Amino acid sequence: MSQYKRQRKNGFTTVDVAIAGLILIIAMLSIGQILSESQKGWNLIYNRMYSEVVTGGHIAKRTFDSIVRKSSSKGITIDPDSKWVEVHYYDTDGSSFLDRYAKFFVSGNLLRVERGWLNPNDAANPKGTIATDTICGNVNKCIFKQSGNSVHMMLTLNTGTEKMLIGTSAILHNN
Amino acid sequence: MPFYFYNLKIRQEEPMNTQKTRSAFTIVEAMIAAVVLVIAVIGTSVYRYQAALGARHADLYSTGVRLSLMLCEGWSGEGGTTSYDPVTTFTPDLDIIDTNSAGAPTGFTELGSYEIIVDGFKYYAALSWKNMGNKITSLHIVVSWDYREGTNQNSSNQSYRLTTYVKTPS
Repeated sequence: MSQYKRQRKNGFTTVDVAIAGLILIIAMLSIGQILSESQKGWNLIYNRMYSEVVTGGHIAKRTFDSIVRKSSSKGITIDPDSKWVEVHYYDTDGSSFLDRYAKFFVSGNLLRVERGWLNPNDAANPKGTIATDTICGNVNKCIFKQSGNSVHMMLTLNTGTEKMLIGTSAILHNN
Repeated sequence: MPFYFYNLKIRQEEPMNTQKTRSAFTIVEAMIAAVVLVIAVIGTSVYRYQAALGARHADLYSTGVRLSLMLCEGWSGEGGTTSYDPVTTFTPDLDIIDTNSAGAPTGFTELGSYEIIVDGFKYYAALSWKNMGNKITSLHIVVSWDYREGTNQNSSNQSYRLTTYVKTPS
């Protein structure tokens, strides 16, 4: 016996550590796989809710509804091929005639709306554009149709990974 | 690694009476730590699963509401006529077909029942109407769906109802 008191070894052996490490690696890999799959699922659902397609679709519906609902059934023109629709409406409560127009159309893969003024009393200059705005992108297909006093828009948005169909109808007022 | 080798922790030059042993993790402590870790991981996974499921349900609900509004506005736009046919109106732009009768609320007359597929998910619509007098017609639209993608409208566990009134032109 040396001057140092002999101490009983009660730690882990290399084999213990190796086995424990192996178990730990397997456990970590399994947990990592679960987390990875969970993250993929999360991203998929998140994109379904907040992707450009979804937000663009909601904006398109809201914009279309709000403009068509204030438009008159006396001033609507639809493309025979259903590719655009033009509606007329009153700018203010004081307007004595339909003095504004909005035209929805697709340009490339963008859904756009052209807004402008109307002046039917001026034969030389009856119409002018105020602005043309982009409503949303990723448009795959867009169909406009009229049925009675309703105007329908069937909009398909597609990014390649996300696809969404937005169908909406809005009633024109009869004044 | 959270384990210590005791023999490596003993410094040779230290006299016996000053020797200190460092406490290591016991297997029980390691197991408890592992259990806590597993609970945390499972908890996170469950939270994410529930959040994703809720988002999916919200997505389906939004689409169901949009369909209800579209049918309601479409029918209203045609003056609430009892000859309204959404299949004719929306085909081929929308995947909609006639389906078995889903019935109508008491006092209402059924116009038709329809199966609509949007983005691969199946919805069922039931349209009915009621003459309220004074040339006013009540239009009732029910769009139903099943989060588990049921096979018919009777198995649907979610629905959205809309009622609107239209005045028939004189």
